Amino acid sequence: MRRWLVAIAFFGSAGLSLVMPPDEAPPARTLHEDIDFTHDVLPVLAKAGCSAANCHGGATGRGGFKLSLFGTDPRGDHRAIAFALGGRRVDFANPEQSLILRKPTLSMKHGGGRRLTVGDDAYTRLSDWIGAGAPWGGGRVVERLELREEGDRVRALAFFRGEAQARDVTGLTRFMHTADDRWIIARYAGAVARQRTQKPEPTVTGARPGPHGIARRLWLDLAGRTPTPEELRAFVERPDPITTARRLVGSADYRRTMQSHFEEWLEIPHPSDERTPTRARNARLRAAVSKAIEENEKLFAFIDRLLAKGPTGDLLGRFNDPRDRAEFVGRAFLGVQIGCARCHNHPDDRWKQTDHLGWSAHFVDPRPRAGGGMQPGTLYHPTTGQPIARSLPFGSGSPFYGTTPLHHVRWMLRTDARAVVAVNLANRVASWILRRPFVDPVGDHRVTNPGTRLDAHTRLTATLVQTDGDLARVVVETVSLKEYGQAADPWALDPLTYRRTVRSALGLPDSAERLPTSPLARELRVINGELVHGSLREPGNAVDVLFAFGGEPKVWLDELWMMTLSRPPRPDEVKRFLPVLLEADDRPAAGRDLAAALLLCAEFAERR
Amino acid sequence: MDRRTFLSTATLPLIAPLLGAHPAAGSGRSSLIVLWMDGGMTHLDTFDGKPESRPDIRGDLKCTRVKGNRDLFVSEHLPRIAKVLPHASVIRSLSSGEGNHDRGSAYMLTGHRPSPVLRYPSLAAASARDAGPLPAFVAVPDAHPYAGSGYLGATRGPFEVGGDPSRPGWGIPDLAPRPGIARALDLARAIDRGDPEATTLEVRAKALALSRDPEARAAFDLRREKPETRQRYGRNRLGQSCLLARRLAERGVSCVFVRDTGWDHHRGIARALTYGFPPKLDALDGAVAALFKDLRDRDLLERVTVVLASEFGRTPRLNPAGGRDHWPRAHSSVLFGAGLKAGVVVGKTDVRGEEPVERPVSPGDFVATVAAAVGLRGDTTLHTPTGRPVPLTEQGSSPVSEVLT
Repeated sequence: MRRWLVAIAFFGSAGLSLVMPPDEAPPARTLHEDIDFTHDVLPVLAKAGCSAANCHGGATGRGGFKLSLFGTDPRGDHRAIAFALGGRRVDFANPEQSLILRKPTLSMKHGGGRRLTVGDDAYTRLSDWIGAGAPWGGGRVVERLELREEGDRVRALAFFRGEAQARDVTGLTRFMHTADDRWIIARYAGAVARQRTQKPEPTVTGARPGPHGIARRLWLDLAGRTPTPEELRAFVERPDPITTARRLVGSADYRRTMQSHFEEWLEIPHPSDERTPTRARNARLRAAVSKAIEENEKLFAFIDRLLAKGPTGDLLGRFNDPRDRAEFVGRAFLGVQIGCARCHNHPDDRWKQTDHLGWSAHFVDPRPRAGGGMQPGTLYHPTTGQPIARSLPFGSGSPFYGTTPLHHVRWMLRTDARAVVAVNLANRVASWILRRPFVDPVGDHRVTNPGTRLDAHTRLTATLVQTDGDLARVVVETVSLKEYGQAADPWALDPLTYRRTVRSALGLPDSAERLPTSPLARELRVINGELVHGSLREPGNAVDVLFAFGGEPKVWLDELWMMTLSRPPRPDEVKRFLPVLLEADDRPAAGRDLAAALLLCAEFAERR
Repeated sequence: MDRRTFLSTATLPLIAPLLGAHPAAGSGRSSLIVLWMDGGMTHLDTFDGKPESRPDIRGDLKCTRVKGNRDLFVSEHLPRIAKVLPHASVIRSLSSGEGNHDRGSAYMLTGHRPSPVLRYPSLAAASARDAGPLPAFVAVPDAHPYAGSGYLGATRGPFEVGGDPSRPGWGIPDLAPRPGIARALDLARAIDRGDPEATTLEVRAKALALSRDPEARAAFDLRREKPETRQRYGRNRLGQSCLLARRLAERGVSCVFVRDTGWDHHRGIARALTYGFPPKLDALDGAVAALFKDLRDRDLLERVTVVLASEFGRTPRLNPAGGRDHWPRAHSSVLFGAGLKAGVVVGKTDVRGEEPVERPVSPGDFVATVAAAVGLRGDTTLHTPTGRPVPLTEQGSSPVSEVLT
């Protein structure tokens, strides 16, 4: 009986609701106009930190709720919020009861703490969106993001395709400062922008090198060796780095030094490290590099010549996988590290996996046509097996847009678009000569990786563009930069340069000895091996010649220091080490020990 | 129940999470010896024999059942290792999709699939830690390209001894202090002392410490071993390399990487494994068995973890040249020593040795297992030079707890 009463009460009340007039309709909510999930909702979650890697944007999400990292997968995120979990994350009738609002406002337990405040703009935006039925919206495409300074504030303006007016998205944009506080990086809905702050470039501390220090730098940077005492004295007498640099770039030592840099840039391995199948290609590439340096071939023409051979030419044919070729061209010439996008859409850059595949598709080996000739090969999606359509993620503007990227890149080299390549090349020259690139890592010029010393970078880039890529000119220009004459951090010489420097300091021809790459093994070789000690016993080495000519111990001391450290000994050094010569029974032997000590000391092994 | 059993079974699962250690890891950091069979060691002709399979699968080499295990068959050319296996763990179900030497090796050595933008360090490099004048990480005779330190930097890389330790007169070049240069080195130190900018001194100090320490240098001197010991390991490159590895691990070197090349048998595999001076399987048999015995006799099994592995297995079906080609879908590894259980066989492949049918183990899982065995925390995170945090193994990896103590 009681059961029937409960049933009547239940159905009765339901029936009553059918016959009773409805309650008054709830007051109309204020909606943000044409709300779009990707551009109006996801950025709220990104800015609140919900889709960060350490929270719901992580690989496995949190608490059973997984979002894409900073909204890189809007469709997936929309499904996760609006439909997953039986749709329990959103309550269309009572948005404020939605899990997605209750949790971040701490209306219920939330491991991520408070992320939103009830009633603020972000909360209202989310709430209105839920109340509108959590629509996907869609259709808008943000073309670029710009930052504008207004007093002490920075506004973010998003330019959407087909819209005349930009939208102020400051409240939806994530801002961060670079570690040195000189740049603001802004991210909104997959678009990235950056802006310089007022903070000036850091001033260089430390004593400026004198003419001896500059001479040592010049010869190490451009000739891969230290100056001879005669060269050093001539420079110190009339210090002129620019003229000296011009003279050095015509020397065999410079060509040899640049050869090493080029081989590293073009990723040509050392002969003892290369695999047999690529040996012949690498040898031809080395020869091509040598010729280009000797003739000071314009860099744009040189790159164009290498790329003209296509995916099967020596430069790109070394790579078996078209994706490796595509990534090589990106980082070596365009300053683009698209490799990250091979595995995932990268939140710090604009390249998506689809961009990577579309770019790589251009680099597939050509196939024979049925009727003769060759046609571009096809790249297939690694998961779906579907053919990939070729695309150029670097934008249009080229008459070759839609054809192979090699044509596009080659077009870039012959037109104003070469500035993109020039920026990358200028950065590489800085890493070779200044030992400190403007943008680090070299070859990674994305928006979120702003460099330093922008003025100097711009200057070298302009020189490259204006001279069609005259390497010798830009090398001399680098020496003329103010920072070349300033204090610099010590830089350990690479094994090859160290070997050459030891041999040349002793007036001996270079040897073929290859120092180990392991620092410990190399150090053992240096302190106990033949490079230093054996060289000091070779007939005709400069130390033996010095002592054979006779003279005063103080003169010997000066010469030993000039020969090795490219400077005279300081007064404290004279006081400490002159007695070593004066008090020795066998002065040449003592001198040889002192020479060995100088070749083994830290200052000799570093470029300062 | 004795104290050790009580601690390892009852309390460690409770205490370990509080301490941050993997529940199944050893109690401290042990030295690691990696025996790397470079080229793709056949699994069917070593540790995953299939005596019941067709002749074109089982090949010409016979296998025998390991005592105490009904379905573990090892090559008849590994009788000494067969006696060791009841004291070791065997993983028969390693599996990955990487059939390229470089990619397969990178995956097995680093626990990550190779990436074009980040060079991952090997577990050997990641686990290396300084202990006195000896290098933290030694490679005998040299390291695989993917066994290095990757983004951790060259100073964490291996010290390669070079050459062939079995050759008479073998030694490390330039290890001993050169006669007559003591004064030069003292003068160099005096020059550096007055130089506040010197930055290359740390490695120099390490090299000098190693060079000047007779005991440290002696660790590399195989002539100090008894002839019968050297004989037991085998007077061949692999045998003497394993002996050197034992000497170094015994003296606290945290990782020794022994690389044995020549396992890429695309042709005539039966002959390649059983002929030669010495036959390849015979050399492996002697070296590994001697290493185990030596570690046991010297009470080092609690302090040293040994891992025998390769980048992938080889095709179960013989090719027309009588060889086996690359087969990453199934391969085997043997592990013993610190942090590891004895007599455990994990995983099983199908009757042809093509696929794991039980407990597939990825290279990431494998590296996580070895990391746990040597005492590395399961949540260990490394950092690139730019500060980016990178987990020790790839996402989704987890140790094979069945083999861990």
